[in-house]
Amino acid sequence: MNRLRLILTCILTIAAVCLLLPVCGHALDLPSITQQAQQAASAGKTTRALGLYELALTQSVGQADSVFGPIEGQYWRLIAKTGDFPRAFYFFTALAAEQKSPDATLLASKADASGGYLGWLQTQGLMASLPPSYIHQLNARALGEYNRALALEPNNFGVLYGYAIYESYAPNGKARMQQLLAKLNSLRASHPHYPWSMVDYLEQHGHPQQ
Amino acid sequence: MPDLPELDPIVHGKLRLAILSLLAGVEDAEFTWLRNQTGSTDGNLGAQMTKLEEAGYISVEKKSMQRKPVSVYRMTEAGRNALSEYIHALRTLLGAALK
Repeated sequence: MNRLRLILTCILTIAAVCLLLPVCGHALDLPSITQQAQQAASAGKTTRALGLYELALTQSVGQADSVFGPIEGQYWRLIAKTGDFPRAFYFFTALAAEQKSPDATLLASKADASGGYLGWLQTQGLMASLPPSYIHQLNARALGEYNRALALEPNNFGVLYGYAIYESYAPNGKARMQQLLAKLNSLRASHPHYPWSMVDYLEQHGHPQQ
Repeated sequence: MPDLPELDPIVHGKLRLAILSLLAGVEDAEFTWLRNQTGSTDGNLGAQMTKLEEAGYISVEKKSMQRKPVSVYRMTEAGRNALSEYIHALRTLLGAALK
């Protein structure tokens, strides 16, 4: 009797999953999620918008850079507007941990998010209340991620520029920043359309344009 | 009268020749950069890019640059050969005048 009940339960569960799958498939349609996120952001519903962008990023990770990048850009603009850098840090940490194979863009995104989080801790006056080992570990992980990303894609503009910005805020990062800027400048002739004005600004002022 | 060399009509267009010449000197280029370099309008440049793409002389890839969508163009091997042959044919045609 118990065995029959178990079989019936299994059949009902499978039937329910089969019935729900098309609904879920429709609900998780990437353009639809992104559009909903944009609408929520425009309506000032930032929590909903951030949640939807995170869902969209989760769905688009591993897809073409042209899909993931623009969604990430919209997400970062909203993070910067709300100042919720811890959220971005924890989100990218979780997203990167889920990936089976390393991805340069995602590794750099996580490192960028670590930089944003460290900056947030600094501006909130929270650095002193945290164990130095925790800050040291965060920094070491971010540097490791940038270096792994560069090992995968040595000429990736986004990785090089993000890494240079990170070093521009580091107390002893000037020399490394100069090395990264030199590497970026070596790409100038063959990639004239890259946003070189941003690199020029960083080079001239020692920090990125806000 | 000696045989006159054929000039590839796809390459021969003024704007298309400018696009191929620009792309020959770089690894890749974005639409806006090409527009600025050629002083063309969006519509005209887009139309000529389509012709070059249809001929297999350039390829286009949708990418993101600093988290913004961009269309990146590259010259293909066929495009490089076509430009090279065009230059050779033009030199032959102008041979006497160049001396």
